[in-house]
Amino acid sequence: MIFFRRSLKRELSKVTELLKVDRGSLWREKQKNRFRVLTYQIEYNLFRNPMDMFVFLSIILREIFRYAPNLVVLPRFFTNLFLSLLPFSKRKIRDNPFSLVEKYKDVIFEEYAEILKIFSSICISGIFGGTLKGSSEYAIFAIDEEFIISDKDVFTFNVDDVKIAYVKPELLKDFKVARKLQEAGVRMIITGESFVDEFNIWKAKSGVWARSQSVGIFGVNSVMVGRYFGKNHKGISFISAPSIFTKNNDGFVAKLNEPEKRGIVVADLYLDSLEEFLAKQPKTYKKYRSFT
Amino acid sequence: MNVKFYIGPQVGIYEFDDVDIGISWYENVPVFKANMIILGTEKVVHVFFEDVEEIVEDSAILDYRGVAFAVGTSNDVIYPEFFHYAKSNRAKFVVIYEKVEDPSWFMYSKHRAWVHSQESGLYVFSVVDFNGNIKYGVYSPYEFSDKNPGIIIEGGAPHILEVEL
Repeated sequence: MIFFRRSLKRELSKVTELLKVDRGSLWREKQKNRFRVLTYQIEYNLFRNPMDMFVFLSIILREIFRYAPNLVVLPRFFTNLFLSLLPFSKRKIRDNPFSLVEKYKDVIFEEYAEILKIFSSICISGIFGGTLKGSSEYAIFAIDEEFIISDKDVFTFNVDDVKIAYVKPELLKDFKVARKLQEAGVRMIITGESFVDEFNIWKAKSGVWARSQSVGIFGVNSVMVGRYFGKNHKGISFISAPSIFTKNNDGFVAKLNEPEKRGIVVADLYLDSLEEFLAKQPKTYKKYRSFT
Repeated sequence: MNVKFYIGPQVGIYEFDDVDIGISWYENVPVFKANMIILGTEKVVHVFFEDVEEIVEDSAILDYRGVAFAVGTSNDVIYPEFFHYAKSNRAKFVVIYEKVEDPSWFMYSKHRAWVHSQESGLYVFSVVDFNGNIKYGVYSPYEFSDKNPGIIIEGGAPHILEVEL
Protein backbone atom coordinates (compact mmCIF):
# COMPACT_ATOMS: atom_id res chain seq x y z
CA MET A 1 0.00 0.00 0.00
CA ILE A 2 2.76 2.41 0.99
CA PHE A 3 4.67 1.43 -2.12
CA PHE A 4 1.63 2.15 -4.20
CA ARG A 5 1.05 5.55 -2.67
CA ARG A 6 4.70 6.61 -3.03
CA SER A 7 4.93 5.50 -6.64
CA LEU A 8 1.61 7.15 -7.42
CA LYS A 9 2.73 10.47 -5.97
CA ARG A 10 6.06 10.29 -7.78
CA GLU A 11 4.45 9.54 -11.12
CA LEU A 12 1.71 12.09 -10.72
CA SER A 13 4.18 14.82 -9.79
CA LYS A 14 5.90 14.14 -13.12
CA VAL A 15 2.57 14.39 -14.92
CA THR A 16 1.75 17.61 -13.08
CA GLU A 17 5.05 19.14 -14.16
CA LEU A 18 4.35 18.23 -17.76
CA LEU A 19 0.84 19.57 -17.61
CA LYS A 20 1.82 22.93 -16.19
CA VAL A 21 2.89 23.98 -19.68
CA ASP A 22 -0.58 23.46 -21.12
CA ARG A 23 -2.56 24.41 -18.09
CA GLY A 24 -2.92 28.09 -18.92
CA SER A 25 -4.40 27.50 -22.36
CA LEU A 26 -6.69 24.80 -21.05
CA TRP A 27 -8.06 27.01 -18.33
CA ARG A 28 -8.55 29.89 -20.75
CA GLU A 29 -10.54 27.55 -22.92
CA LYS A 30 -12.98 27.04 -20.07
CA GLN A 31 -15.62 29.55 -20.98
CA LYS A 32 -17.89 30.77 -18.25
CA ASN A 33 -21.08 29.70 -19.93
CA ARG A 34 -20.04 26.16 -20.80
CA PHE A 35 -19.73 23.32 -18.41
CA ARG A 36 -17.73 20.37 -19.71
CA VAL A 37 -18.64 17.00 -18.28
CA LEU A 38 -16.70 13.83 -18.84
CA THR A 39 -17.62 10.32 -17.88
CA TYR A 40 -15.71 7.13 -18.23
CA GLN A 41 -17.32 3.77 -18.87
CA ILE A 42 -15.03 0.98 -17.73
CA GLU A 43 -15.05 -2.77 -17.62
CA TYR A 44 -14.87 -4.29 -14.17
CA ASN A 45 -11.52 -5.85 -13.54
CA LEU A 46 -9.96 -6.94 -10.29
CA PHE A 47 -6.34 -5.91 -10.53
CA ARG A 48 -3.65 -8.39 -9.63
CA ASN A 49 -1.69 -5.89 -7.60
CA PRO A 50 -1.68 -2.18 -6.68
CA MET A 51 0.79 -1.39 -9.46
CA ASP A 52 -1.66 -2.56 -12.14
CA MET A 53 -4.29 -0.39 -10.55
CA PHE A 54 -1.93 2.54 -10.58
CA VAL A 55 -1.12 2.08 -14.28
CA PHE A 56 -4.82 1.96 -15.01
CA LEU A 57 -5.49 5.15 -13.04
CA SER A 58 -2.60 6.92 -14.76
CA ILE A 59 -4.07 6.06 -18.14
CA ILE A 60 -7.45 7.41 -17.05
CA LEU A 61 -5.88 10.58 -15.69
CA ARG A 62 -3.97 11.29 -18.88
CA GLU A 63 -7.02 10.70 -21.05
CA ILE A 64 -9.22 12.84 -18.84
CA PHE A 65 -6.74 15.67 -18.69
CA ARG A 66 -6.76 16.21 -22.45
CA TYR A 67 -10.35 17.39 -22.27
CA ALA A 68 -9.97 19.86 -19.34
CA PRO A 69 -13.43 19.08 -17.96
CA ASN A 70 -15.23 20.95 -15.21
CA LEU A 71 -16.57 17.72 -13.83
CA VAL A 72 -15.42 14.13 -14.12
CA VAL A 73 -17.93 11.42 -13.31
CA LEU A 74 -16.59 7.98 -12.54
CA PRO A 75 -18.99 5.03 -12.69
CA ARG A 76 -21.21 3.74 -9.94
CA PHE A 77 -19.37 1.06 -7.90
CA PHE A 78 -16.05 2.32 -9.30
CA THR A 79 -14.56 2.45 -5.81
CA ASN A 80 -15.13 -1.27 -5.36
CA LEU A 81 -12.17 -1.70 -7.71
CA PHE A 82 -10.00 -0.51 -4.83
CA LEU A 83 -10.52 -3.88 -3.16
CA SER A 84 -7.58 -4.87 -5.35
CA LEU A 85 -5.40 -2.86 -3.01
CA LEU A 86 -6.15 -5.18 -0.12
CA PRO A 87 -3.75 -8.06 0.41
CA PHE A 88 -6.28 -10.80 -0.34
CA SER A 89 -6.65 -13.24 -3.16
CA LYS A 90 -8.94 -12.38 -6.05
CA ARG A 91 -11.17 -15.27 -5.12
CA LYS A 92 -11.68 -14.05 -1.58
CA ILE A 93 -12.49 -10.57 -2.84
CA ARG A 94 -14.91 -11.96 -5.41
CA ASP A 95 -16.69 -14.15 -2.86
CA ASN A 96 -17.05 -11.54 -0.08
CA PRO A 97 -17.04 -8.11 -1.72
CA PHE A 98 -19.48 -6.43 0.66
CA SER A 99 -18.16 -7.79 3.95
CA LEU A 100 -14.62 -6.83 2.95
CA VAL A 101 -15.80 -3.35 2.07
CA GLU A 102 -17.42 -2.92 5.48
CA LYS A 103 -14.31 -4.15 7.23
CA TYR A 104 -11.78 -2.12 5.27
CA LYS A 105 -13.74 0.86 3.99
CA ASP A 106 -11.69 3.32 6.05
CA VAL A 107 -8.50 2.09 4.40
CA ILE A 108 -10.08 2.32 0.96
CA PHE A 109 -11.37 5.84 1.62
CA GLU A 110 -7.96 6.93 2.88
CA GLU A 111 -6.23 5.69 -0.26
CA TYR A 112 -8.91 6.99 -2.56
CA ALA A 113 -8.89 10.41 -0.91
CA GLU A 114 -5.18 10.69 -1.68
CA ILE A 115 -5.74 9.87 -5.32
CA LEU A 116 -8.79 12.07 -5.81
CA LYS A 117 -7.08 15.03 -4.13
CA ILE A 118 -4.19 14.70 -6.56
CA PHE A 119 -6.60 14.39 -9.47
CA SER A 120 -8.65 17.44 -8.52
CA SER A 121 -5.60 19.57 -7.67
CA ILE A 122 -4.15 19.18 -11.16
CA CYS A 123 -6.80 20.52 -13.45
CA ILE A 124 -10.32 19.37 -12.84
CA SER A 125 -12.82 21.37 -10.81
CA GLY A 126 -14.72 18.44 -9.41
CA ILE A 127 -14.65 14.69 -9.49
CA PHE A 128 -17.54 12.44 -8.68
CA GLY A 129 -15.56 9.41 -7.67
CA GLY A 130 -18.23 6.77 -8.14
CA THR A 131 -19.70 4.82 -5.28
CA LEU A 132 -18.55 2.10 -2.93
CA LYS A 133 -21.00 -0.68 -2.24
CA GLY A 134 -20.88 -2.39 1.10
CA SER A 135 -23.84 -2.95 3.42
CA SER A 136 -24.93 0.47 2.14
CA GLU A 137 -23.75 2.53 -0.82
CA TYR A 138 -21.29 5.39 -0.27
CA ALA A 139 -21.07 8.18 -2.84
CA ILE A 140 -17.68 9.86 -3.02
CA PHE A 141 -16.87 13.30 -4.29
CA ALA A 142 -13.82 15.56 -4.38
CA ILE A 143 -13.68 19.28 -5.11
CA ASP A 144 -10.69 21.56 -4.60
CA GLU A 145 -8.85 18.88 -2.69
CA GLU A 146 -11.77 18.36 -0.34
CA PHE A 147 -12.99 14.77 -0.02
CA ILE A 148 -16.64 14.10 0.79
CA ILE A 149 -18.39 10.80 1.49
CA SER A 150 -22.13 10.34 1.73
CA ASP A 151 -24.31 7.29 2.27
CA LYS A 152 -27.54 9.10 1.41
CA ASP A 153 -29.74 8.10 -1.54
CA VAL A 154 -29.62 11.68 -2.81
CA PHE A 155 -26.46 13.71 -2.43
CA THR A 156 -26.07 17.29 -3.72
CA PHE A 157 -22.94 19.36 -4.28
CA ASN A 158 -21.74 22.40 -6.24
CA VAL A 159 -19.13 22.58 -8.97
CA ASP A 160 -18.34 25.95 -10.57
CA ASP A 161 -21.68 27.34 -9.29
CA VAL A 162 -23.65 24.49 -10.84
CA LYS A 163 -25.77 22.51 -8.42
CA ILE A 164 -25.44 18.79 -9.05
CA ALA A 165 -27.05 15.77 -7.42
CA TYR A 166 -26.15 12.11 -7.26
CA VAL A 167 -29.34 10.04 -7.17
CA LYS A 168 -29.67 6.27 -6.97
CA PRO A 169 -31.19 4.90 -10.19
CA GLU A 170 -34.16 3.37 -8.33
CA LEU A 171 -35.34 6.87 -7.40
CA LEU A 172 -35.34 8.07 -10.99
CA LYS A 173 -38.08 5.76 -12.21
CA ASP A 174 -40.59 8.56 -11.79
CA PHE A 175 -40.40 12.34 -11.78
CA LYS A 176 -40.98 13.11 -8.10
CA VAL A 177 -37.39 13.21 -6.81
CA ALA A 178 -36.15 14.87 -10.00
CA ARG A 179 -38.84 17.56 -9.76
CA LYS A 180 -37.95 18.38 -6.14
CA LEU A 181 -34.29 18.64 -7.06
CA GLN A 182 -35.00 20.79 -10.10
CA GLU A 183 -37.09 23.18 -7.98
CA ALA A 184 -34.24 23.32 -5.46
CA GLY A 185 -31.93 24.57 -8.20
CA VAL A 186 -30.23 21.32 -9.21
CA ARG A 187 -29.40 21.37 -12.93
CA MET A 188 -27.64 18.05 -13.33
CA ILE A 189 -28.38 14.59 -12.02
CA ILE A 190 -25.73 11.89 -11.88
CA THR A 191 -26.68 8.26 -11.71
CA GLY A 192 -25.38 4.88 -12.81
CA GLU A 193 -28.07 2.54 -14.07
CA SER A 194 -26.86 -0.76 -15.46
CA PHE A 195 -28.85 -3.82 -16.46
CA VAL A 196 -28.27 -7.40 -15.49
CA ASP A 197 -27.88 -9.84 -18.40
CA GLU A 198 -30.20 -8.19 -20.90
CA PHE A 199 -29.69 -4.65 -22.21
CA ASN A 200 -32.58 -2.81 -23.81
CA ILE A 201 -32.19 0.77 -25.02
CA TRP A 202 -35.84 1.53 -24.24
CA LYS A 203 -35.40 0.48 -20.63
CA ALA A 204 -32.17 2.45 -20.45
CA LYS A 205 -34.10 5.52 -21.60
CA SER A 206 -36.65 5.22 -18.80
CA GLY A 207 -34.18 6.43 -16.15
CA VAL A 208 -32.32 9.72 -16.12
CA TRP A 209 -32.90 10.25 -19.87
CA ALA A 210 -36.65 10.30 -19.25
CA ARG A 211 -36.21 12.76 -16.36
CA SER A 212 -34.24 15.04 -18.66
CA GLN A 213 -37.25 15.18 -20.97
CA SER A 214 -40.03 15.42 -18.40
CA VAL A 215 -38.46 17.75 -15.84
CA GLY A 216 -35.91 19.64 -17.96
CA ILE A 217 -32.56 18.80 -16.44
CA PHE A 218 -29.17 17.50 -17.58
CA GLY A 219 -28.46 13.87 -16.75
CA VAL A 220 -25.30 11.79 -16.56
CA ASN A 221 -25.46 8.01 -16.55
CA SER A 222 -22.11 6.44 -15.80
CA VAL A 223 -21.87 2.67 -15.58
CA MET A 224 -19.32 -0.01 -15.00
CA VAL A 225 -19.87 -3.03 -17.22
CA GLY A 226 -18.74 -6.60 -16.88
CA ARG A 227 -19.21 -9.33 -14.32
CA TYR A 228 -19.28 -8.13 -10.72
CA PHE A 229 -21.28 -8.86 -7.57
CA GLY A 230 -22.04 -12.23 -9.15
CA LYS A 231 -23.95 -10.79 -12.10
CA ASN A 232 -23.20 -9.73 -15.64
CA HIS A 233 -23.82 -5.99 -15.92
CA LYS A 234 -24.54 -4.17 -19.18
CA GLY A 235 -25.40 -0.59 -19.87
CA ILE A 236 -24.43 2.55 -21.71
CA SER A 237 -22.92 5.71 -20.33
CA PHE A 238 -24.48 8.87 -21.66
CA ILE A 239 -25.14 12.53 -21.02
CA SER A 240 -28.75 13.52 -21.60
CA ALA A 241 -30.61 16.80 -21.95
CA PRO A 242 -34.07 17.95 -23.06
CA SER A 243 -34.08 16.86 -26.69
CA ILE A 244 -34.32 20.41 -28.05
CA PHE A 245 -30.75 20.95 -26.83
CA THR A 246 -29.34 17.91 -28.55
CA LYS A 247 -27.88 17.65 -32.00
CA ASN A 248 -30.14 14.96 -33.45
CA ASN A 249 -33.09 15.79 -31.21
CA ASP A 250 -32.66 12.38 -29.62
CA GLY A 251 -32.13 13.62 -26.07
CA PHE A 252 -28.52 12.41 -25.91
CA VAL A 253 -25.82 15.07 -25.86
CA ALA A 254 -23.25 12.29 -26.00
CA LYS A 255 -23.43 8.55 -25.53
CA LEU A 256 -21.62 5.30 -26.06
CA ASN A 257 -23.19 2.85 -28.43
CA GLU A 258 -21.62 -0.33 -27.09
CA PRO A 259 -23.30 -1.66 -23.96
CA GLU A 260 -20.38 -3.89 -23.00
CA LYS A 261 -17.29 -1.88 -23.80
CA ARG A 262 -15.04 0.72 -22.27
CA GLY A 263 -15.21 4.30 -23.52
CA ILE A 264 -15.19 7.97 -22.78
CA VAL A 265 -18.14 10.37 -23.06
CA VAL A 266 -17.59 14.13 -23.11
CA ALA A 267 -20.05 16.96 -23.58
CA ASP A 268 -20.20 20.72 -23.24
CA LEU A 269 -23.38 21.77 -21.49
CA TYR A 270 -24.74 25.29 -21.68
CA LEU A 271 -26.43 26.09 -18.42
CA ASP A 272 -27.65 29.52 -19.54
CA SER A 273 -29.75 27.95 -22.30
CA LEU A 274 -31.32 25.55 -19.81
CA GLU A 275 -32.13 28.36 -17.38
CA GLU A 276 -33.73 30.32 -20.22
CA PHE A 277 -35.74 27.27 -21.28
CA LEU A 278 -36.95 26.61 -17.73
CA ALA A 279 -37.90 30.24 -17.19
CA LYS A 280 -40.09 30.22 -20.34
CA GLN A 281 -42.00 27.07 -19.40
CA PRO A 282 -45.52 27.73 -18.06
CA LYS A 283 -45.72 26.42 -14.51
CA THR A 284 -49.13 24.80 -15.00
CA TYR A 285 -47.97 21.64 -13.23
CA LYS A 286 -48.38 23.37 -9.87
CA LYS A 287 -52.17 22.96 -9.97
CA TYR A 288 -51.72 19.17 -10.02
CA ARG A 289 -49.20 19.17 -7.19
CA SER A 290 -51.67 17.95 -4.57
CA PHE A 291 -51.97 14.66 -6.45
CA THR A 292 -48.25 13.88 -6.47
CA MET B 1 -63.04 -4.25 -21.15
CA ASN B 2 -61.87 -4.07 -24.77
CA VAL B 3 -62.12 -0.66 -26.37
CA LYS B 4 -61.64 -0.09 -30.07
CA PHE B 5 -59.98 3.22 -30.97
CA TYR B 6 -59.72 5.09 -34.21
CA ILE B 7 -57.09 7.81 -34.33
CA GLY B 8 -56.68 9.78 -37.50
CA PRO B 9 -58.26 12.39 -39.74
CA GLN B 10 -62.02 12.63 -40.19
CA VAL B 11 -62.23 10.99 -43.59
CA GLY B 12 -63.49 7.68 -44.89
CA ILE B 13 -64.74 6.67 -41.51
CA TYR B 14 -68.15 5.23 -42.44
CA GLU B 15 -66.70 1.76 -42.87
CA PHE B 16 -65.73 1.65 -39.22
CA ASP B 17 -69.09 1.86 -37.50
CA ASP B 18 -68.06 -0.37 -34.65
CA VAL B 19 -65.35 1.94 -33.35
CA ASP B 20 -65.83 2.84 -29.68
CA ILE B 21 -63.78 6.00 -29.53
CA GLY B 22 -62.68 8.19 -32.42
CA ILE B 23 -59.89 10.69 -31.82
CA SER B 24 -59.06 13.49 -34.21
CA TRP B 25 -58.06 17.14 -34.54
CA TYR B 26 -61.00 19.55 -34.47
CA GLU B 27 -61.54 20.74 -38.03
CA ASN B 28 -65.31 20.83 -38.35
CA VAL B 29 -68.37 19.16 -36.88
CA PRO B 30 -67.83 15.41 -36.55
CA VAL B 31 -68.58 13.12 -39.46
CA PHE B 32 -67.58 10.03 -37.45
CA LYS B 33 -69.85 7.21 -36.51
CA ALA B 34 -67.89 6.19 -33.45
CA ASN B 35 -69.70 5.83 -30.12
CA MET B 36 -67.62 8.59 -28.59
CA ILE B 37 -65.86 11.27 -30.57
CA ILE B 38 -63.02 13.31 -29.17
CA LEU B 39 -61.99 16.33 -31.22
CA GLY B 40 -59.64 18.97 -29.96
CA THR B 41 -57.19 21.75 -30.57
CA GLU B 42 -54.28 23.01 -28.49
CA LYS B 43 -56.74 25.05 -26.39
CA VAL B 44 -60.04 23.21 -26.20
CA VAL B 45 -61.38 19.66 -26.52
CA HIS B 46 -64.89 18.71 -27.65
CA VAL B 47 -66.21 15.34 -26.57
CA PHE B 48 -69.35 14.02 -28.26
CA PHE B 49 -71.10 11.09 -26.58
CA GLU B 50 -74.72 10.02 -26.94
CA ASP B 51 -75.81 13.31 -28.50
CA VAL B 52 -74.22 15.36 -25.74
CA GLU B 53 -71.31 17.67 -26.45
CA GLU B 54 -68.92 18.44 -23.64
CA ILE B 55 -66.37 21.21 -24.02
CA VAL B 56 -63.17 20.93 -22.03
CA GLU B 57 -60.67 23.74 -21.59
CA ASP B 58 -57.20 22.78 -20.37
CA SER B 59 -57.93 19.33 -18.96
CA ALA B 60 -60.57 17.06 -17.47
CA ILE B 61 -61.28 13.52 -16.34
CA LEU B 62 -64.14 11.96 -18.31
CA ASP B 63 -65.86 8.61 -18.52
CA TYR B 64 -66.62 6.19 -21.31
CA ARG B 65 -69.00 3.43 -20.15
CA GLY B 66 -67.24 3.02 -16.81
CA VAL B 67 -63.70 3.60 -18.11
CA ALA B 68 -62.21 6.85 -16.84
CA PHE B 69 -59.86 8.76 -19.10
CA ALA B 70 -58.22 12.17 -19.22
CA VAL B 71 -58.05 14.80 -21.93
CA GLY B 72 -55.57 17.63 -21.85
CA THR B 73 -54.22 20.48 -23.93
CA SER B 74 -50.88 22.18 -24.50
CA ASN B 75 -49.84 23.81 -21.26
CA ASP B 76 -50.96 20.99 -19.00
CA VAL B 77 -49.76 17.97 -20.95
CA ILE B 78 -46.11 18.96 -21.05
CA TYR B 79 -45.74 18.04 -17.39
CA PRO B 80 -45.66 14.59 -15.76
CA GLU B 81 -47.83 15.90 -12.91
CA PHE B 82 -50.85 15.95 -15.24
CA PHE B 83 -50.42 12.24 -16.03
CA HIS B 84 -50.00 11.45 -12.35
CA TYR B 85 -53.21 13.37 -11.68
CA ALA B 86 -54.95 11.31 -14.37
CA LYS B 87 -53.65 8.09 -12.90
CA SER B 88 -54.69 9.01 -9.39
CA ASN B 89 -58.20 9.59 -10.78
CA ARG B 90 -58.15 6.02 -12.11
CA ALA B 91 -57.86 7.06 -15.74
CA LYS B 92 -56.90 4.25 -18.11
CA PHE B 93 -55.75 6.39 -21.00
CA VAL B 94 -55.00 10.01 -21.80
CA VAL B 95 -55.74 12.00 -24.95
CA ILE B 96 -53.48 15.01 -25.46
CA TYR B 97 -53.55 17.86 -27.97
CA GLU B 98 -50.60 20.09 -28.76
CA LYS B 99 -49.52 22.58 -31.39
CA VAL B 100 -45.86 23.06 -32.29
CA GLU B 101 -44.04 24.89 -35.05
CA ASP B 102 -40.38 24.06 -34.59
CA PRO B 103 -39.24 20.57 -35.74
CA SER B 104 -37.10 20.11 -32.63
CA TRP B 105 -40.05 20.98 -30.40
CA PHE B 106 -42.13 18.45 -32.33
CA MET B 107 -39.55 15.77 -31.50
CA TYR B 108 -39.51 16.99 -27.91
CA SER B 109 -43.28 16.64 -27.63
CA LYS B 110 -43.03 13.04 -28.91
CA HIS B 111 -40.29 12.23 -26.41
CA ARG B 112 -42.34 13.69 -23.59
CA ALA B 113 -45.45 11.72 -24.56
CA TRP B 114 -43.41 8.50 -24.53
CA VAL B 115 -41.84 9.35 -21.17
CA HIS B 116 -45.17 10.21 -19.58
CA SER B 117 -46.66 6.96 -20.81
CA GLN B 118 -43.79 4.95 -19.33
CA GLU B 119 -43.83 6.58 -15.94
CA SER B 120 -47.59 6.72 -15.50
CA GLY B 121 -48.29 3.31 -17.05
CA LEU B 122 -51.14 4.80 -19.13
CA TYR B 123 -51.89 4.65 -22.83
CA VAL B 124 -51.26 8.09 -24.32
CA PHE B 125 -53.02 9.17 -27.52
CA SER B 126 -51.28 12.22 -28.86
CA VAL B 127 -52.58 14.55 -31.57
CA VAL B 128 -50.15 17.27 -32.59
CA ASP B 129 -50.59 20.08 -35.08
CA PHE B 130 -47.14 20.45 -36.57
CA ASN B 131 -47.20 23.44 -38.91
CA GLY B 132 -50.64 22.49 -40.23
CA ASN B 133 -49.86 18.76 -40.55
CA ILE B 134 -51.68 16.72 -37.97
CA LYS B 135 -49.51 13.98 -36.51
CA TYR B 136 -50.81 11.12 -34.41
CA GLY B 137 -49.06 9.00 -31.84
CA VAL B 138 -50.07 6.18 -29.52
CA TYR B 139 -47.69 5.31 -26.69
CA SER B 140 -48.01 2.54 -24.16
CA PRO B 141 -45.95 1.15 -21.31
CA TYR B 142 -43.24 -0.72 -23.18
CA GLU B 143 -44.33 -4.22 -22.08
CA PHE B 144 -47.61 -3.72 -24.02
CA SER B 145 -45.97 -2.93 -27.34
CA ASP B 146 -44.50 -5.22 -29.97
CA LYS B 147 -40.72 -5.64 -29.36
CA ASN B 148 -41.05 -3.31 -26.35
CA PRO B 149 -40.34 0.18 -27.64
CA GLY B 150 -43.48 1.62 -26.01
CA ILE B 151 -44.54 3.16 -29.33
CA ILE B 152 -47.61 1.72 -31.04
CA ILE B 153 -47.98 4.23 -33.87
CA GLU B 154 -46.44 7.51 -34.90
CA GLY B 155 -47.09 9.55 -38.00
CA GLY B 156 -49.84 11.08 -40.10
CA ALA B 157 -51.73 7.96 -41.10
CA PRO B 158 -55.02 6.87 -39.50
CA HIS B 159 -54.95 3.83 -37.26
CA ILE B 160 -57.38 1.49 -35.59
CA LEU B 161 -56.41 -0.46 -32.52
CA GLU B 162 -58.16 -2.48 -29.88
CA VAL B 163 -56.91 -2.16 -26.35
CA GLU B 164 -57.83 -4.06 -23.21
CA LEU B 165 -58.30 -1.53 -20.43
